[in-house]
Amino acid sequence: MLLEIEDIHVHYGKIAALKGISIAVDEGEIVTLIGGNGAGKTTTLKTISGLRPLTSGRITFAGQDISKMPGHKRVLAGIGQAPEGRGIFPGMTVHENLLMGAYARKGEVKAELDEVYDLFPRLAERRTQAGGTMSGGEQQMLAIGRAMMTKPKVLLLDEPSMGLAPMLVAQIFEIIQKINERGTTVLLVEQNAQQALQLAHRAYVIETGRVVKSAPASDLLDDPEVRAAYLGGDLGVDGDAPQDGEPAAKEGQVATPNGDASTREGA
Amino acid sequence: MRPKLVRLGGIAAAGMAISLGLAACGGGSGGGKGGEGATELTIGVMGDLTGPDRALVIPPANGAELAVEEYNKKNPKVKVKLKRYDTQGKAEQAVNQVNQAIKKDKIAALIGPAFSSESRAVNPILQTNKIPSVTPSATATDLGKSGWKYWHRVVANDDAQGPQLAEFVLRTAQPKKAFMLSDQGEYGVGLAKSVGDTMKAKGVQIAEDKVDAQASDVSSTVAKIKSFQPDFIFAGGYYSFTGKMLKQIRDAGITALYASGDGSVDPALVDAAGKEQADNVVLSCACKIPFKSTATELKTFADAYKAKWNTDPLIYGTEGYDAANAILKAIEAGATTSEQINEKLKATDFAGVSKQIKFQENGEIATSLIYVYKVTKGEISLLGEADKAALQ
Amino acid sequence: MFQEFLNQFGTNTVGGLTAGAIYALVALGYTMVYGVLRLINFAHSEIFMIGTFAALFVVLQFGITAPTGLAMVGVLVMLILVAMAASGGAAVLLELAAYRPLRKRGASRLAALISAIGASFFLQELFKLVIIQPVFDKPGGNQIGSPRFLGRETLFSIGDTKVQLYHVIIVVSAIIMMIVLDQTVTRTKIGRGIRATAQDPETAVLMGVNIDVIVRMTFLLGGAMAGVAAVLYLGAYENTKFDIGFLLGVKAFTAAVLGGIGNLRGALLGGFALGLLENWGAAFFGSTWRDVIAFTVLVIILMFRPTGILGESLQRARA
Ligand SMILES: Nc1ncnc2c1ncn2[C@@H]1O[C@H](COP(=O)(O)OP(=O)(O)OP(=O)(O)O)[C@@H](O)[C@H]1O
Ligand SMILES: [Mg+2]
Repeated sequence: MLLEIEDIHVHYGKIAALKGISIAVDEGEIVTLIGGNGAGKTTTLKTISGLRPLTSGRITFAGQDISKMPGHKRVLAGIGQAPEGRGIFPGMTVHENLLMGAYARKGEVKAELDEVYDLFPRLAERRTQAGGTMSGGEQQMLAIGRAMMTKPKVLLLDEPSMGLAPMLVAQIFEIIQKINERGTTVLLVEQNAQQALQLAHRAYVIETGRVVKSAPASDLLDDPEVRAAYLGGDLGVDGDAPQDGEPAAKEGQVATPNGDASTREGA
Repeated sequence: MRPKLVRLGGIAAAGMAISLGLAACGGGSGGGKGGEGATELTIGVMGDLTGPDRALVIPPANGAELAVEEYNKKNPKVKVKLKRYDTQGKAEQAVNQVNQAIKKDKIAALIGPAFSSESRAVNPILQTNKIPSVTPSATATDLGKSGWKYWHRVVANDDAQGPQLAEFVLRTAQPKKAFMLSDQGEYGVGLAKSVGDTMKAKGVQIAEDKVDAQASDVSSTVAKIKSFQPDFIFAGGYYSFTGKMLKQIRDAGITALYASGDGSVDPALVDAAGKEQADNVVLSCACKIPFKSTATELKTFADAYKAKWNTDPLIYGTEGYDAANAILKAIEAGATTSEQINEKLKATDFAGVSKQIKFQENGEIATSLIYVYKVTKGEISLLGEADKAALQ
Repeated sequence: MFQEFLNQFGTNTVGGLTAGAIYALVALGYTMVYGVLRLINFAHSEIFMIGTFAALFVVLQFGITAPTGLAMVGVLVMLILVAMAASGGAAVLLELAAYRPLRKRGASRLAALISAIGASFFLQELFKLVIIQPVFDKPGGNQIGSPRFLGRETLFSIGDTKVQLYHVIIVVSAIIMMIVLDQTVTRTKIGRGIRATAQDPETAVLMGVNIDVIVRMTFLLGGAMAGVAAVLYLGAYENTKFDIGFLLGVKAFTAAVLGGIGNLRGALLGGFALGLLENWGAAFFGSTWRDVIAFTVLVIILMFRPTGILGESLQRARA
């Protein structure tokens, strides 16, 4: 296992946000965490990144116990995150935001920059624009690109589809898949369960700080309880979702409203 | 000087109440205050001995102690013990201390209190208990108008300084245009106004500015002075302010005669202004400080003081010595009770170190002398009495 | 009144710029710490005070009196280095002792402010009661004068207004330091770390920024700027005192708010604006009104531009 979280408890003051969560992510996987508002998804990612301290439990990463490692060191160890709400530095340009991703690293950043600009041609066009003035979709691309600049072994994504138009969501998901195919492990938090489950290999369902289900993503797509709770008892956000029963393998069953997502052919 | 002048008016009233209670307890026996056949009397010296303004009180206390020591060496019939009472400059504490001095130590007379605010609180208590006092340094004018029968001071009051300094400058330097500069405190503003009013009455053209003593940049005031082109500048305030102003005024190339009052009579003025800039500054004070004077009586006192205390007598040192001597001479002349000491003080007339010690009916010193000083090469020296001295 | 104001306009402008340069340098410390920690570092005025005493110590120790030409530049550079080290070091220690423990415990901002006020008084009393007397052999409460180390030669005159060497040195030094700091924050890695932390501290951690290091660097840089200000102050006004920082600190903080707190360039602008306003106002209405005028203008500006003249802050500033 690349990343293993064992029975972690996390508190905000006296309030318990995580009450014993265990999650494992293997190298090369896309794993998704789904759950309702306030379930503890963001808290889980923050704890993995070291922004929240553990009350108890253990986090191991690449064979090393990182439970007590300070947050800024976990970045160098290989944990990159695009946080909820994107966390763009509003006063910095796109380029500076990307360079921030390489802040802790020594040496050249050219190769990574090229790769990010290749993944997100839009960012290359907007290099000198202030991060704060970008559109929501562009900011999300920037957040993911910036996380990639940390050269992560595992990429934590917290609701990358939040607030985006369906077309953009599809595009973002395609890029996530591409990133994964190029060798980066992904832990994806989503409320957009339909598409997350179609993209991911495995999934965990979290409710009020506990894991209530864990299974291959395709199984959960068919799970009546999950469908009722997170998939609106029906299909995804738009009518173009794949047919019922069709396996949601990672080979491109992403819901795409139209042919705009042409980049996926290039993967 | 009058750093503690502004105090709560209520304190005097509180002091009065306490003194009434005390008189009741004492039963009017007057027993402890000496008495016929006593062989030792206690007198007190009171003021801020450890507080922020102790620099104004330690020299007079030390001067008084020197006087007592000299007196006892003469092997008098009645010896005198001097006791120090520390008020830390607080009127409340002065009331506590005086009650203790009267009840417990049964003092026969008091030198002090040092400050006017303390005096307002303590003097009524002394009055009730019929204990005479001589203050070396409380200069508020109202003290002399309170009708106290046991109160005296050996220093001129605040009304004297401004006019006498102004007259001195008018006589010796004949200014045509004078600039009145002050900090924004009551003392500095009042003194500058008094100097300015006297000069204005004599036809001198006056301009003024009041500066925040804490401000670092005073260039606008300096510019104002420069454009007014005065031939005399008076600065009201304490040495750190007047010194700082002096420095910037000289640095701006203004060469007008510069004078300040008792708040600036301190070697630290030279520190604040710089040695060069402080040259030729004129200072006035109701106090007489020997500095390096060669006048016999001053030098004798200064040498004895230095021998005992290992430091030069500074502000109010001579007045403390004279105040103690006024009381000691009364005792030497046979007074053994507070009442008798007070009687003899009324008739006192002797040549003190600071001046002729003779009191008016109301306890004020007979002649309100103001002394002028001048800074030369970083040293303050005494020029003499303001109405006679020349400005060399 | 107006005639007088016009007569003294030039002199007051020169004096105002000189004072403003010093306000601006001190304002930087307030602005940087506020930008990064949202904390008003109340004790920054004492960091400045410590700088003046460090510089004074060197001046007296080496018996420096009125150097000229290159020697003066040498003295100035040496004093600036010493005072930067002293003030910067003191600021770092201050952060370590007074703020870090609170931050680690996640204490409220109010608690940090109280701690800051306490630290301010502590440092004043420490100097007054413990340090000044043995080091300078003068009573700790005294104002202590400094020998001259910035020349007073008149460089040029504009009408009646003489511009003296020290005016130019102070304004130019302040601007140079501003540029150095601005470039440090814009171009260096530590500067990017500072800006990232100011804009979004949590995300900064996700970039591998060590917040503790950044906070320390912020205090160090702000303190060092106060050290430069301290040397220029001592050169201009040639005295210092244990509580010298108080009023100056209030003014510098005002300058920071005036320019837009959290904004480095705003601090420069606010400093000069305040220095000029004070002097012009004092000339017009009398020195008694000096502070009143300055603060009235502050209130008016904040009424119409609550975020200060430049408005932006370090959080959003692009540079
Ligand atoms: N800073 C905080 N202080 C106190 N409680 C918090 C804080 N942040 C989160 N919580 C609480 O912790 C619980 C988990 O929150 P978390 O943000 O992890 O949920 P989430 O699953 O990410 O929700 P969402 O889908 O709405 O983002 C919630 O009950 C939330 O109210
Ligand atoms: Mg969340």
